[in-house]
Amino acid sequence: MKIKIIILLAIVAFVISMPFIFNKSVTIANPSKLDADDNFILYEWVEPRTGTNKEWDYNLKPVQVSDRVWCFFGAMEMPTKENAGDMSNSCYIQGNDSWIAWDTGPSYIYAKQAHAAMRKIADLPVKTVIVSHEHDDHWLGNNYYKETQNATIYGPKSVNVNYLGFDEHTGKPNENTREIPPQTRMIRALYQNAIRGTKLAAVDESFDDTTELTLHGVKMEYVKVGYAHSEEDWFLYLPEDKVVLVADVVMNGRVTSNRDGIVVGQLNALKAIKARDWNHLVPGHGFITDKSAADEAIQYFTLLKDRVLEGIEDEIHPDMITKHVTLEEFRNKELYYLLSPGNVFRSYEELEMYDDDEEDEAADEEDDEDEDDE
Amino acid sequence: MAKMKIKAKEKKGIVKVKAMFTSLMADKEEAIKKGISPSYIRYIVAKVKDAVVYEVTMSGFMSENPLVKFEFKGNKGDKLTFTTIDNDNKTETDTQKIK
Repeated sequence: MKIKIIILLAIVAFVISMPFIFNKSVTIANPSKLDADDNFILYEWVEPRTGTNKEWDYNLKPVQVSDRVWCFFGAMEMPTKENAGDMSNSCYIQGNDSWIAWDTGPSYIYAKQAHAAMRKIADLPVKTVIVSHEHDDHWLGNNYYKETQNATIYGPKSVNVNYLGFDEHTGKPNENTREIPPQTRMIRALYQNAIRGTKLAAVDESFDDTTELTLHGVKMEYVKVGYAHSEEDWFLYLPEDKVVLVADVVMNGRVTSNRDGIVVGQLNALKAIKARDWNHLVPGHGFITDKSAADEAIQYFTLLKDRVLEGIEDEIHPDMITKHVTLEEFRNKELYYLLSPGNVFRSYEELEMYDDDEEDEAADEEDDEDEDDE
Repeated sequence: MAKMKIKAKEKKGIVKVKAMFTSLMADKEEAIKKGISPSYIRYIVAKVKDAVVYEVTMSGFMSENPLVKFEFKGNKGDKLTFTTIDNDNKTETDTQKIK
C-alpha cells in the first residue's frame, strides 16, 4: 500500500513539474505586445519598416468569377505575420482601357503583386480603385495605385475622417488633419518585406448615397449600406455581369467579426444585397461565390439577433449571454471560438434597447416617403 | 441635452423599465481632459399619473449614455414620463406607453 502511495505521489509530482521540465518556449520580454493568439498588438508607434530584404511573395493567383471579374481570395485567418495580411478578398474588373480594383488588400507590395498577376491576363493599368470600407485589410494597397498610376480612389468618407483626420462634414482636410497618419494594425505588425512602402492614401472621391456609375465602359452601382460591418459600408453591383462584390458585409466558411458593426445594420445590408439580381457574389472573406454565398451570413445574423433578443427577454445577465447564446450551428466554422462570443456580447449591448415596433414604424415612414417621391 | 430611449413592459402587474439617455456624462474633471464643456445629467425622474416611480440624482460618475433599469407595480397602457435635468439646468421630457 505504501509503495502504491509513493508511486502515486511521484506521478503527481511529475505531472505538476511537467510545465517546468518541458517548457522550452521563448521568453516573451514584453507580453503586452502580443494578443491572445500571440499575434501582434502594438498600440505604440513603431519605426517605419524600410528593410531591403527580398519582397514577401504573396503567391497571388487570380480566380475568374465572371467574364470581366477576377478575384484574389485570402486565408480564412486573422492577419498574422505568417499570412502577411493576405486574409481578405479583393477583385479586379476589366474595363475597356483599365482594370478597376475593388479593394486593394493589406499592403503596397500586395497591390503591386496583384496588379502584376492581372497584367498577365490583360496588360492594362489601374486607373480606378473602389474601396468597400475602412478596415485596413481592404485598402492599404491604395497608395501603390496612387503613386504608380495616379489612380482615382473612390471610397467611404470614413477612411479619410477616421484615419487621416479629415473633417467629417466637408470630407476635406482641416486643421485637425494629421500630418503623420496613424499606424494601422497591418503597418505595426507585418514583416518589413511585406509592409514597406505602404502609406495611408486618402480617398479622392466619396458619395453621400448609392450612385450609378459607368467607369471604363463598365456599368456599376456603388451601393451605400451605411453602418453594418463597420461605420460605413458599401458594395458594388455589376448589373451587366450579374456579379455583386460585397466585401465584409458577407463572409462565409468562417465566423464574421462584428467588433465594429451592428446586427440590425448587417441584416439591412444583406436585404439590399438579396434585392439585386446576381449570379455570383464575392464575399470579403470566404471562398463561396455562387447563389448560396450570402446564406451563411443571413443565417448567422438572423440567429444572433433572435437569440440575443430572446436572452434579453429572458433577463439573462449580459455577463452570461455568451453561455446562453452559443450559435452551435457555426461551431465548425473558422474563427468561431475567437470571434463568435465577442459578436454575441456586442449584440447584447446593441439590442438591449432594441424595439421591433420602432423599426417597423421607421420602415413604414420610409415607405410613405418613397410613395410621396413617386 | 439628453435624448432618451425608453422601454416599458408590463407582465403580471409588474412593469419592467429600461431607459437609456444620450449624454457624454463629462464632469468638470473629464471635460478639462477632453477639452470640452462639462455635460452631464444630474437628475432623472420617472412618473406615472404624476406619481414618482423612479428618481435619482447623479453626476459625471455615471458612464457615458447611462442605462437605468427598474421595476414597479403598474398597468399596461399607462403613460410613463421621464424628465431629465442636466448640469446647465436644461430639462428634457419624453413619454412612453407601457406595453
